[in-house]
Amino acid sequence: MAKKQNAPSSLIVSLALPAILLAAYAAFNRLKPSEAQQEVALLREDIERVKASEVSPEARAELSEKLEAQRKDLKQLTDRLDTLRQQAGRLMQGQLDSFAQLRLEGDLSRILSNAGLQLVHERPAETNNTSSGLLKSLEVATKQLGDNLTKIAAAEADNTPIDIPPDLSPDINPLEWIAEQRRLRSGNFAGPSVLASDLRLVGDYQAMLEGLETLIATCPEVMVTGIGFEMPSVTTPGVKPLIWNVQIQMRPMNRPLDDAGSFANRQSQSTYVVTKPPLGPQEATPATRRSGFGDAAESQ
Amino acid sequence: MPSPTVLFIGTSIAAGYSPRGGKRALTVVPADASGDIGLSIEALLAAMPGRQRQVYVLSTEVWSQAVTVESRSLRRIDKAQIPQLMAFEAESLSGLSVVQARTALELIDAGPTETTYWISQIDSTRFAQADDAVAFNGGKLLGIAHPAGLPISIGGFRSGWTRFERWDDLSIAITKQGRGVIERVFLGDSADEVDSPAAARNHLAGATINVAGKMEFLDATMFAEVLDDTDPLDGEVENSFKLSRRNDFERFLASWSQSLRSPKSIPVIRPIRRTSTAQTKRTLALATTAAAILGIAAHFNFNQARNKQLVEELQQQVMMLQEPIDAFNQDQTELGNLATQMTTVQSQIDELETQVMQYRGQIGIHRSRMASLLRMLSEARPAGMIINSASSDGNRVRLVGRSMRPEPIIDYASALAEKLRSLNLTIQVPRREALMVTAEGAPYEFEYVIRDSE
Repeated sequence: MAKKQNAPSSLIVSLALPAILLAAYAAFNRLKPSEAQQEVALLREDIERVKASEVSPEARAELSEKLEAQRKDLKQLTDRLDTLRQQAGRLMQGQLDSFAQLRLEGDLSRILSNAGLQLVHERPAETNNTSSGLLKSLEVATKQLGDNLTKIAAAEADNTPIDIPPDLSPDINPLEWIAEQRRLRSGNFAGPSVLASDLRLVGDYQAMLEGLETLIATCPEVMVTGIGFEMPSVTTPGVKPLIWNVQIQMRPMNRPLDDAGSFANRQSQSTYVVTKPPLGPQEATPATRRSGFGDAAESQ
Repeated sequence: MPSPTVLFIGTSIAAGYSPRGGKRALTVVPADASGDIGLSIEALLAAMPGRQRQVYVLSTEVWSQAVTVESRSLRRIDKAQIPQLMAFEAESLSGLSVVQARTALELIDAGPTETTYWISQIDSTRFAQADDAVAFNGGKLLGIAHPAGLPISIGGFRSGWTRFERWDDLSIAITKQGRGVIERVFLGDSADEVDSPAAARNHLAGATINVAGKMEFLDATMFAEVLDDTDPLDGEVENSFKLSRRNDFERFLASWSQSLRSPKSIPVIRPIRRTSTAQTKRTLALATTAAAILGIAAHFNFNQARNKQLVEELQQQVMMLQEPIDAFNQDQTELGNLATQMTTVQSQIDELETQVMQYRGQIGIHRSRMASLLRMLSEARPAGMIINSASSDGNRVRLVGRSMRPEPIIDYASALAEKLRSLNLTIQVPRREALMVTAEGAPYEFEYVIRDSE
């Protein structure tokens, strides 16, 4: 009888444990949601946030148009910069070829003779007068422009990938090869090669003045870098000749860009903006070449 | 609890009262001729309107009497054993064995020496028949009782009333005074002479039974049918009720229905509740616990899978929504980068153009400046002043000359300086020296040094 009284008195008591379990599970679920549930909640918040920051199609279209216009503008500017760089690069590079040198020397001799000057002798300059004090302001301008061009070319060379050829010789260090290629790409903009000469002439003051002015007007490749005169020790009455010492330089003429290359050429160069310098160690640095009248070939 | 349906099963008639029946509340059919209580109930329930859900059965087949035992005997046993004791006491009176009988009892009087119980008994087989019949019709049998001993007034009196009931097998007096408990007195005689409330009052007075207030009389003897109309030969007497009269019969059953809403102080034989054993309960508890654990595990797994799928769907949704925004932001960034690039390229262009212009300018100046210097020296030279020689060593140009007076040397140098500025040339303060040929020191030799102004 007592055992019967201790037994659960109803089904409700029998169901108490599962009910407690279910209630505990429900409470656990509510109080401590699983990671997936938390992630779901976070994702729902994300969706709301993303929807709130949704961009209208009109704004997207407007931005695309702006972007396209900006790209075109940048392309135009880049093309213009490339053109300018090529033009400036030509100013800083190059040398007179033999034919031009012969032509210039002939023109020089003819102009001075026509002005009434007598050429006593001509010889290549003994000193490198490209770095003389009288040319300092020109050197500064040359250096500024050359440095700028070198800097731009070097930066672009760094950003242009260099592919190692598959047939690279095994005795060449690939890293050194790449460094050499990069150095070659960066170009050399130290200024054009010039031919410097010292002239000794005889003639009066007015003849020299006319001769020089004619020379400047007709021969843009010629630059008079120094001048001097002295009285002859023996003079003839009524005649006042002077002995003249003139230093000149001949450099490549600064031709306009359109004369140098076609549009297609410029376009192809604009895609590969690094100007390759001429190969050869003697041409890697600016050199003043000395030349003599009528003996240009020998001077080279 | 709403008022239950009351079925009256007599020897000749079977009547049912449904409190929701309205005008058809009372249904009367003949009782089963073979005396099968189950068949009578089935027939009655089939005739009644609607389905009767909660059903009490009042049947004269129930043996119902007061049984008196010694109080000291009761004090010796556990209270839980009293029904068993009283069933044995009633066995000899009812003729129903303890094993076969279903017994209900209600304490009537507990004195120091004697204790009286109102005991009702019915054969368990007949009880089962009744239970099955009610269940067969979609109802639930709440209990079976003898129709005698209705604990409320049929005439509607709340208190201070006494009713004398005369049944075929017993007579009983029920009294209620004030708010006190209901007293019941079972009378041994048949009291055939009592046929009215007044006669009942006299009868009870003769039996020294206390009578209070209004007197009711219920005649439930020998009625084989229920008549709609009042028997003209049997004139109506106030507070006298005959079950053979339909109105009285309906009021009688309605009172029972009302009374059985909360059956108290009535020995109602109730169906046995099949209580589960402790083992069954433990098994059930374990089974439900296991089911709950399985359900939790299943729900957990289902939730995990569903959440995982949901996470993937939401991630895709976020990506789809985020993609155009990222593209827009990327475009905006690119727009800013393009503007920066344009500024950079423009500044490079400006710088390069400036440097090219400066270079070209220097070239132009250097090409023409020696010729310009010669022309300056030939023009506007003061009288009495000559330049004898000029020389250039690459770093400077030296002009050497003579002047009759010293002042023009400086003046001419100043004039030259103004003009040479445009040629990027400067002239140093001239050196002069008096040659002392004349008394004033003349002529004077001078030297101009001209340099590049950088």
